[in-house]
Amino acid sequence: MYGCIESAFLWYETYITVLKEMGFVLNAYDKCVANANIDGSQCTIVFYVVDNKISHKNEKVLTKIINKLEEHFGKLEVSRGREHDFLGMRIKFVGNEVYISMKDYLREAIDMFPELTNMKITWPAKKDLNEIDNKAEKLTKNKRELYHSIVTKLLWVMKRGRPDIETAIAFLCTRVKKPDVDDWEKLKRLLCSLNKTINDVRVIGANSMDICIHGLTQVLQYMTI
Amino acid sequence: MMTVRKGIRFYGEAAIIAIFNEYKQLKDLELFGEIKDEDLTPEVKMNALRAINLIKKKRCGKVKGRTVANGRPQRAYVSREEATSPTVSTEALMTTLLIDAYVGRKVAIFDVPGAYIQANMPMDKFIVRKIEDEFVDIMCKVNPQYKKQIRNERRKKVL
Repeated sequence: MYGCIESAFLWYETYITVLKEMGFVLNAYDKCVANANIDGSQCTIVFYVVDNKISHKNEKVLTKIINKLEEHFGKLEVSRGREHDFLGMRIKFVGNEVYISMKDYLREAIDMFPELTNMKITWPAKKDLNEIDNKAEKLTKNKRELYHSIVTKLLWVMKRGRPDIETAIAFLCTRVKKPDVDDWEKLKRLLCSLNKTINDVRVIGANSMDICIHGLTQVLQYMTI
Repeated sequence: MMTVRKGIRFYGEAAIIAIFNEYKQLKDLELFGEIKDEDLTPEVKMNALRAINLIKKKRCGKVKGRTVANGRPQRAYVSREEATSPTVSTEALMTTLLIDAYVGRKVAIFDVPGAYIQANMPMDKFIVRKIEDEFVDIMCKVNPQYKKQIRNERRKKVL
C-alpha cells in the first residue's frame, strides 16, 4: 500500500521474485539490473521502483516478456520505438548514439525562479563561485525554500541530462540550509545560462566497446571506459 | 500533487472521478478487509494509519487520484532495513543505454500501475487504516457493505 514505509521494499521483493521465476539473474553490482539470455542474446531490465526499461535485439522477445509480466501485474503502460520518456528524461536513439534531453524539467525550474533576466550568459558560473561572504544577507524563508527546491530539481537534471552544470550545482547544494543573497545571484546566473542553452542535449554513444563519447551537442568529448 | 479539496477547486469533476476511481481500484484489488470496531483495542486504534488523499496532474495531462497511508507512526517500529529498497544507479542506467544503442537493441519503457498495492504482504502482517470524513462516503459508495462499520470519533465520520 502507498504511504506505508515497508511498501517500497515489499514491492522490490515481489518484483525480483517474479523476474527470477522468469529466468532473470540480478546483476552483482546493481540490484536493479536483471539479465537473461533469451534466444542467444541478452535481455536486460533496469528498474527504478515501478519504472522499467527493457531491451533485447528482438522486438518479439520484448513483447513476450511484457506479456508475462502482465500476467502477474495486470495491464502495463508501455512505450516502444526510438523515443521514450523515462525518469524525467526524453531519450532518443539515433544510430549508435543516445540523446538525453530534460528540457521540461529545466523549463519548470526556470519558470519557478521569479527574477530571471535576459542576460546573455553562456557559462553557468563565474570564477568566484566558491567564494563565500559570511556577512552577506541571508535569504527570507520563502526565498530559501524556493532556492532549495530549484537546486534539488537541478541536481536531478545534472546527474542525468546536464553534466555541464555539475560544478555550479555541487557548490549551490552546500548552501541550501542558509543561502544568502550571493547564492541567490549564483543560482540566477546558472538559470540564465540554462535558459540560453535549454535545447542542448546530452549525447552518449560508442564507436567501439572501448571508447565512449559523452557531452552536449555543443561539445563532444572522448573518454576511455 | 495536492490535497483532494484543493484538487477539486483546480480540476473540478475530474478530481472527484480520479479519487473515486482510486478507491474503486483498491476495492477491486481486494486490498481491504473488515475489522469490527469492538475487536480493536484502544492502542490499535491509536496506531491506525490515517489515509491521505491526493490529486496529481500527470505530465500527459491526466488527473490522477492517489490515496496513501500516513506511514510516519511506523518509523517507531519498522527497522530501516525493512523500510528501504534499492533503485537503479544512474551509472548502470547510462551504461545500459549506451550498450542498447551500440548493439542496436530494441527498447521498451513500461511502468506498473498500482505497483505497491500488488506487493506481497506477509500473512502475519496487516495494517489498520483509518478513513475519515467525506472519503468514508466514497469508500461506502464503492463497497456498501462497509456502511455498518461507520463510527463517529470527535464529531468525525470514521471507517
